[in-house]
Amino acid sequence: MSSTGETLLRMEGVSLGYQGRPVLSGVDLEIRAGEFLVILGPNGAGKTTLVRGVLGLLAPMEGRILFPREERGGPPPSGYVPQRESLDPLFPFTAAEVVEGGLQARLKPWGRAGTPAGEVERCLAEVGLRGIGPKPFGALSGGQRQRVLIARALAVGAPLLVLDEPTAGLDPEASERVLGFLVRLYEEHRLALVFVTHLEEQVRHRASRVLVVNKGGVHPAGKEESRAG
Amino acid sequence: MQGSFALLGDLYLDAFLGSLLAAFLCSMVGALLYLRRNVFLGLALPQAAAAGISLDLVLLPWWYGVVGWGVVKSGDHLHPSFALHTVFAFWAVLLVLGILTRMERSRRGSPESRTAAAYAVSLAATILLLQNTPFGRAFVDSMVRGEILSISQADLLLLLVLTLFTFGTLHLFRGRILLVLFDREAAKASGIRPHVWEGLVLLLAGLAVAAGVVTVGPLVVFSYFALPPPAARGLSPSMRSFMILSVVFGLASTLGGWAFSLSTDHPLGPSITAAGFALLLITWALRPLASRVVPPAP
Repeated sequence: MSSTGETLLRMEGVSLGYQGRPVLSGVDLEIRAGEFLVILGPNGAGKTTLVRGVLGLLAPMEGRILFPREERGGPPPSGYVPQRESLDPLFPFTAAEVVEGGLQARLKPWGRAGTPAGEVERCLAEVGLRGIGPKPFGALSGGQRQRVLIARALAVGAPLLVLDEPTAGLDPEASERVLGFLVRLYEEHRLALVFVTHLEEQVRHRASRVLVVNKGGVHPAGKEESRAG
Repeated sequence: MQGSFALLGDLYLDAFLGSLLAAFLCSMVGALLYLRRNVFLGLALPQAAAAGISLDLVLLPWWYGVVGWGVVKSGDHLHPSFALHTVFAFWAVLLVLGILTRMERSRRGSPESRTAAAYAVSLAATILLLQNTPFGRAFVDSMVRGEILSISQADLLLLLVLTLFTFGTLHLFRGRILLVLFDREAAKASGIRPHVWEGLVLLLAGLAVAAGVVTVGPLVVFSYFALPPPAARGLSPSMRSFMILSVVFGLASTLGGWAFSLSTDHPLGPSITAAGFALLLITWALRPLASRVVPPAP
């Protein structure tokens, strides 16, 4: 995908918040291609606010966010796995229809022109769910649904994958399986992975860098480890 | 009863076809509003359309003198055409949608209170506008009852064009529209501009409501928005089947409404609504049979 080390995003003195009230202030952050960045922090500390800034969903109140690889300066397309409870179960999607949503960014607005045949199935196979496409998304287990959302994020085909609490609400076994797939995808595709969680012990040892969101700021935690090799 | 149905072929064929087109159009768009959990827009927007139609009835003499287009003159009487009604209804719906969207962006009030206010103001505007137009009052009264006996072939053609345009647009862009409705933030993160596709959905909703209200009245349009989608949701294992079943149930309630109305001499609008509700009850009864393939609807 990307050569390791190239800067995808740089935040300089950024404040992020809602309705004029900053949640995070003075954030300096760089995300590089091919790194596994873990963002830790207690509930309500502002992890999702930071993610929204990274994805360009929230404009900075102060400071600036740079995207050096983008000619137009705007945020590049990213694969995003939101917290599961933010998705409305009223939509009767099948697993395949959910993944097709991720392909939209790569398609002409009016359809499937240019999509390699079997792309949906390939993305599902990447997360170990080959053949599950016709099943209703709402009928899948929590872990399977999470993997379908990861498949959708992969389908975007972007060098940056952002996951907001992807193991929240899963039992330990399902959490471990989701994490295992993420680490494998990271190692195979050399994606930049931003993994947000409040469960430190799950991911700290797998990360190439760990940041902690707390008390209105973003701070480095420990030394950078070179898992990426 | 056979005589009543014979009338369908002689007197009411255009009205019958018009109601089927309105059912197709409104059920299709209603399915999207249902997924947005915004089905009460289906109450406020038809009322806004009725207010727009009332305005064109009030302005009719002036409009005929200055613009002329869209007015049918028979003897000494002036009648607005289907096209003129649709244009006024469409702009009234767009105006209300614009105000609601602006209020939503500035976070004024809850979604329910905004929609309820839009309904109340539109209803009041309809009544006030019709105060001094006896012809208008009679027209809107028959529209509210869903009596669609006077639709011309030209009106039918316009309705067909609007229906095909809406269907074609939704079919072509369904992938992006559904992604934006389902997960706005993931869509935006992947480089899609959500406001473009949300705007398109609202535009299509405005067209469907305007044409639907002029054809079958606000009650029936609201029932197309409120009844077929939940009936379809309980039996749909996929988004594709949900959209198809919503339209099928809208058409089926229209056929059932016509059959009931002609055989018992009841007004058509409430008959279509009653048939739609009966279909909803039937689908609820069938849900346990479908539960093996369809996860329970929330």
